[in-house]
Amino acid sequence: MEPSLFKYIWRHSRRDQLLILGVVLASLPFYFLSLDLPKRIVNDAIQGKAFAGGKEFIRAFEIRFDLPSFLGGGKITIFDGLDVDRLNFLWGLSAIFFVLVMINGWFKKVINIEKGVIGERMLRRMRFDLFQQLLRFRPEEARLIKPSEAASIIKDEVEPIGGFIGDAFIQPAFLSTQALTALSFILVQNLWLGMLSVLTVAAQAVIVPLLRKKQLQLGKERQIASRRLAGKVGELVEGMPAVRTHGTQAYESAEIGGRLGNLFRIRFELYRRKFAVKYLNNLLAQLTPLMFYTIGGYLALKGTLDVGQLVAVIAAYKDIPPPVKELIDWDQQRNDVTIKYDQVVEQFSPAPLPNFDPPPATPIAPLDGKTFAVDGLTVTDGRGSALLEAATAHWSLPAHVALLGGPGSGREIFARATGRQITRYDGTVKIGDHNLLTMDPETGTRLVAFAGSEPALFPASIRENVAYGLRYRTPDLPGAEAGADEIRRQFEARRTGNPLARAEDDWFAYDRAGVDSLQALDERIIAALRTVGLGDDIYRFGLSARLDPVRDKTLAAELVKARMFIHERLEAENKTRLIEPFDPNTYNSNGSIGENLLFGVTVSQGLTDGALLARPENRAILRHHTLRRPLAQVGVQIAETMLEIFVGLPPGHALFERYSFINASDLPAYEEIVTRWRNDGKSLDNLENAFDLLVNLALGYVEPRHRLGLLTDDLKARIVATRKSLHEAWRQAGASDVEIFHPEFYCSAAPVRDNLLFGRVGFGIAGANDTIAELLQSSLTDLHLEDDIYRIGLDYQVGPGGKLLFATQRAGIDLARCLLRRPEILVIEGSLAGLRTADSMAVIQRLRADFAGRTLIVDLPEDGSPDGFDLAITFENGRLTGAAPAGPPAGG
Amino acid sequence: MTLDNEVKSLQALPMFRGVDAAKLKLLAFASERLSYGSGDRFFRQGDISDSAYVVLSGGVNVLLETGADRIKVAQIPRGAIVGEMGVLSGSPRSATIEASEPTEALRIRKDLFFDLLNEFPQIAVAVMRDLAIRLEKTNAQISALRKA
Repeated sequence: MEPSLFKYIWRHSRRDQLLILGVVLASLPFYFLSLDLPKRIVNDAIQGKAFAGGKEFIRAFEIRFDLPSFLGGGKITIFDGLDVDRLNFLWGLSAIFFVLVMINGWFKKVINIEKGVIGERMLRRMRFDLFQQLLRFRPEEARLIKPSEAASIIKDEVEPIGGFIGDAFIQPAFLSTQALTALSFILVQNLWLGMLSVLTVAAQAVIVPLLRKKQLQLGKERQIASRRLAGKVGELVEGMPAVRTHGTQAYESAEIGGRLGNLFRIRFELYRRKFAVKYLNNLLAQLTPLMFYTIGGYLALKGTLDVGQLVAVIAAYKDIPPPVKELIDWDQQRNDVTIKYDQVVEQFSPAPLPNFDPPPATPIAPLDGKTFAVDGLTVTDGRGSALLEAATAHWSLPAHVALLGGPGSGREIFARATGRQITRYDGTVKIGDHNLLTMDPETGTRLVAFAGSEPALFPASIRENVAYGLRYRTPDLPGAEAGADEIRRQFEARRTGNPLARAEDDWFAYDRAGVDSLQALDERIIAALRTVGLGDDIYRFGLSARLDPVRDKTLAAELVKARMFIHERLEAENKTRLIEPFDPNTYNSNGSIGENLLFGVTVSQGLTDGALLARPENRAILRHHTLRRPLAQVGVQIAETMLEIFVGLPPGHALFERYSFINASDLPAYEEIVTRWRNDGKSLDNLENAFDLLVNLALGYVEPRHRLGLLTDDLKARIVATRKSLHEAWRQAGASDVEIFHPEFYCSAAPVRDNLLFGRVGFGIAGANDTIAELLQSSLTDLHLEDDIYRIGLDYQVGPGGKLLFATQRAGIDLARCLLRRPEILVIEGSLAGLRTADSMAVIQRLRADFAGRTLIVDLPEDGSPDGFDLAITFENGRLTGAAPAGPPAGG
Repeated sequence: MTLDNEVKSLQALPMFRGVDAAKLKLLAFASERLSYGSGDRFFRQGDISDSAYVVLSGGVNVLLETGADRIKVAQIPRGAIVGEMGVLSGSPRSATIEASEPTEALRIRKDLFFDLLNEFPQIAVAVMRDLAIRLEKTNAQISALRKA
């Protein structure tokens, strides 16, 4: 980026700045006129100087121009003027004054708007440029940037710079001409008074900036301190688990408190200085009029200055201090943002990347038969000790290369360097004619892909994450038919150096994945995920996902058909006892009491069954069926049992958390209820106010699972009756909080699996879940619905940084992302580290099949065999110790 | 069968003699109650050892599988704990276990098993006693074999 702020602004907004400057200049004559007019109103109209000699009428308001002599002299008259008396003369002058006020106001408005627009455009450009700088960082440097600090710079720190840009040139031009106009006006009126004003202004202009020096330094300190605060907060959010685990809340609080204290100190100092300067400014500004009144008054009394002039001078002077003050403010701001800009640019100046080779002719020449040559590859850490020393290896492409060696052996460094993840190394890595370091980035990404142990996933669906590597075909721009908004959007983008293409258009380079549609792409994504061993996970995500039946209407209908099919198959295979189907008229003993009452799923986010049933209208229905007391009875017995069996365990203990019905925070409340219940001779009569809590506990109870023997047939029947009343009441009220199960409809609030099984798997039957899973899968295969389940699974959201997934799943998705765009060379380092040896070797076998005819460089698990690889490279203690063809394929 | 009945069954087992009823109730409550038909498999040799089982009623066969051959090496009656060795050692199942008749068992998942051992010395001692008795038996068998 441009090292100087003013050069940067000038380079990108020269035209606009000059345009506004023109407007400013055009506004000056009107401004001058508006200064002159009050004098005429007082002297000529009110005091009647124009009517001297007892004239009744004068000719006024003529509009004519004196032609200069080179045009032949003479006058051009546009308006001859009117004969007016004194009163009409006053009205006329006042009307002109009014018009001038309007014109000046209009100029001011136009100038302000234009300034604002320039500022915003430059801000957009600057933020974009900074972001571009980020993209230019070397991978090594990028790792050192604190995300929250970078975000704070791009978002917050440049904001005031943007605000200043509109003012950068115009403000001083406008204000100084304004001040000069006013000053020269005063000078014309009276030399001495003029000199006095000049003196005051000069004093302000000299003293104030001197006082502000320290302020600027404090401003810089404040900027750095607040950026670090943002960085620290970001770190803490990331490190929250560590803080909680080690109980360092107090320390971290003190740390943040200290930073806030320091910020306060800086700001306090700033305020003190700011208002001291302000005080001085005000004093100077108000002393001058005082002198005007005394000296000017004296002159007026003496007769050397008329009263009209004095009034005009004072009016004009009133206009000087604001511009001067604003000029000083401008100067202050200039200093301030220059420092900020320098700071920002310094932070965002990556070490220059090497000069890239020109992009080769497309398509890139095939690599077959060329050599992958690593010569004297040496990588050192930040302190100069070697991580990998003088590694040399050559092989002919394509080849499957196994990397062997434990952690710290140099294996991972070799992989990272050949995978374009390390750019600071000695020696050379060449793929055919391409030098890895200098080959143009586009060719680089086309040829080489790297999958590592710390993959970066974006908070989006699995599908979007896997297809991410295909997002590089810049979509075509909409043409002129796209409408005025689109044309304006493109115009603004062009003016600010931003890209014209729209992110929401289709960026997928389908041809790279060898497909031509989004549908076909899904199949490839699923295939890639299967290759890396995530097929089952995606299938499970699909089964546990919720389908939007409006969007996937046909699929929802298919799934309901599949539901029937599955139940027929259960019957045919004599397995009906494994699933107890949902039946509107019977109690499902493998479901909880809550599920049986609702016979559906709550739709609103965060609405629990308990909260729903505790609503007055629903509570009344429960009471009507005299169900609240029996449920409370169930609840109190659960509470009693829980308190009995978890006695002696701390409330936060894993056993308690996982197996007890009760939240640790509710424990004391239940303890108290159970004690009161016992003291009352196990009667609920005095516990009416605790019924909500107790009913809530009962709702989660599943008889065959928890086996407390609390359900009677009578209670079950009453629950089913209540269910019907609830449904009837909701139907009448048009309530939509619960989506009710229906044998023939899809329930969008329930997961796909529940919709397919439409029942609960029986508890206590050995192997029931496995048998059902197999039956489910075979049924879906037979109905050709398996792919749809996978497709739903692809919608699974991975969360920020992929945090909703396991590390092995994240690594797998990263690997699938590389597979999808079919690079010529794939380097894998640590992606499979989380898997067991047998599993990771199975993935490697599938990858090798997928990469037949292309190059694969992969690190093997410690006890994995390189048999079948074209080349096995061994590392030890940061050295390459051997490179030899591996044995024949295992079993071959 | 309810939790209370299960606790009674557990109390009747020699290995849990002397363990508090409340602890046994916790054990039963937190584990999964499963019914097996005759010949139903608990787990298979080579599987990951993810749970231990207390056989409440019925009985199980211990089978060694080598290729297609299945050799029955032992029959374990009700009242024993099976599968705990794999959980403790972390190694895969060393044998296959199948129900020899209709059988009821409590399945104790690995993390629960360790939590119980860590938290309740009585249960830990019960498991150790069971292991020790089995080791003694094995020793006796070995010496008997030597003598033979």
